[in-house]
Amino acid sequence: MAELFHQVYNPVAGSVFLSALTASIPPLLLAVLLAVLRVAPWRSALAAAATAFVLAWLVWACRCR
Amino acid sequence: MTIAAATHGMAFGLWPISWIVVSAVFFYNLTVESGDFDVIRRSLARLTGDRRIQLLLVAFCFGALIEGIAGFGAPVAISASMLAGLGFEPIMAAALALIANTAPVAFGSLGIPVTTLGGLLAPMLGHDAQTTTRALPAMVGRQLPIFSLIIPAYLVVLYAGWKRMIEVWPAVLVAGGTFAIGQFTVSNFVGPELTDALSALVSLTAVAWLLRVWQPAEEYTEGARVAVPPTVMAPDGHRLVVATAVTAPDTPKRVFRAYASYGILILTVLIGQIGNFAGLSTLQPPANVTALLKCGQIGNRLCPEPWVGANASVDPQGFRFPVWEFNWPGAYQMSGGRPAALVQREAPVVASSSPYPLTYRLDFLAAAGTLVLLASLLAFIPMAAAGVPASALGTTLKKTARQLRLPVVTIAFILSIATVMNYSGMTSSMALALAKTGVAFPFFAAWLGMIGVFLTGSDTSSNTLFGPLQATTAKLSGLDPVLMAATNSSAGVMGKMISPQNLSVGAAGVGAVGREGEILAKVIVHSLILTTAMGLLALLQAYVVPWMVPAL
Repeated sequence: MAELFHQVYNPVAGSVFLSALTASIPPLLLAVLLAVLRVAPWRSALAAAATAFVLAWLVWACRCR
Repeated sequence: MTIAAATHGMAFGLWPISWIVVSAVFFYNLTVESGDFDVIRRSLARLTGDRRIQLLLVAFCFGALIEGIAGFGAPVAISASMLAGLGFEPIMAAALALIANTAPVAFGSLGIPVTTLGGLLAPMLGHDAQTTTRALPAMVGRQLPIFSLIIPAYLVVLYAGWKRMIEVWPAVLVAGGTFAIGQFTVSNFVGPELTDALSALVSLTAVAWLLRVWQPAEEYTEGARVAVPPTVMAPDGHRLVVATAVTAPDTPKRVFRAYASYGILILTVLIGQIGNFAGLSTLQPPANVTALLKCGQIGNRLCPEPWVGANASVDPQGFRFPVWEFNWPGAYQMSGGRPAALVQREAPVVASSSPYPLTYRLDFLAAAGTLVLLASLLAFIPMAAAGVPASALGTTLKKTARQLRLPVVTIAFILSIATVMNYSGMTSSMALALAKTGVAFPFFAAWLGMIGVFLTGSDTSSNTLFGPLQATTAKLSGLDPVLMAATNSSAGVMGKMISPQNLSVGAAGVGAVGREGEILAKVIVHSLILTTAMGLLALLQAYVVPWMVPAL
């Protein structure tokens, strides 16, 4: 039996505000890459998707708790 | 688990999202290849010599038709270049085309922004995708028509001033009024796919009829000049040849055939969706084509047995045709012969710990993309009969593939971001913080949607990134998630005119590459005014007239 994954909403230092700030990194990165640095859309989306993946895996789904 | 969410997002980006985009652009390219598109363009230019009415026909009505079928910047490129070809000053032409490209955007490319949103929100709200993707367009259809009604007047005032707008008030009223009524009716009683195409055709026809019984007292042709048809390249490599009205007129038969291609598209999609019409959902198959195409889909009472494969109640994971619904690998475990979701959502986002299923549906026949592909092939029959070679299909396919290769990859990655953020809980973390803005949240929700489109250039992307966030925040603040998610989409359209991507499409369309800044300066105030208005409307609908929100 695989373990159930219970979502946690304040994984960053137990603070909702800091967690929300961290969670906003992927969309913000996408925005900066697209609008400010004028990176090609598919590269920007790939970079933001990779960031979201790493954050989800290491912070939100961390088994360290 | 994270891998499962990331791959599911990408797969969802390919089917059904990219599938619709590819077939819609394929259809559009086919009408360009066969010459039907140019015929329609010329027939519009011949209807009137009055600049103000040309503006309504080209930027508002025709632009909405192209938005409804192709979307993705095509309407701005096409209507801007047509206006410039008719003799409008290029920068003004681009600005007007951009401002006109607001009211139809939420239902662009056969309703893709709202259907994507519905697919993402369904598991979150605990309803099936069908119900959710009916409620969202209904809500958007109770917001945008108010703007559709005023956009034509807005455009003419910007172009020619208040006094000159009043001179053509019948045309302004007919264009906006018929479009708004069509938009409300179709989105509420039929579905999101044909909202734009049908409303735009109704509006075009209505203005054309009006011109037979009424003409402006004085034809406004300020700035008329003999336009040199420039050949410009859109950023996607699509060649835009700007035709002028001076070529030999097409025969009425040819014009009819050109419009018939679009008629075939609309009829095919309408017939495929017959079961979604208000009052027709209990129609029995085979008359109910929709139920037939969805045989074996969970919850389809009219045709529960699939054509091929095991029934969903016997083998929930088995391959079925024509609808294959399954739990995504790595995101479920079997318990008692039924798959159970591994991800659990927790309080305060939901009342108590509850499963958050990650399922995937391949609706081979009922998907809008399949219907449009079928329509393209049907529309090709009269084209072939009129002498278009069969090789045109291959050329069009190649052109479409070249045009959309990178956008499809982008769509897949953006959907991947959304799914990972939703299933990991990141979206809910942001929503919990946003919910602290309290009663003013509906107003900020509009701005969030607009910023999403400003940054990504697409209402679909904005809905993907922020729609789930809006819905979760709404639930936490005791507001209606359908209202707030729809507001994201409705206000998002106001950011389209200032997004760098669409500015460059507009500039390329009028052959003014490098002058994006001048266009931006002309449109930015209007984007801010219209977003503020949408924010106020959302506040009204949340607190004063909540009966306007459809029940889920």
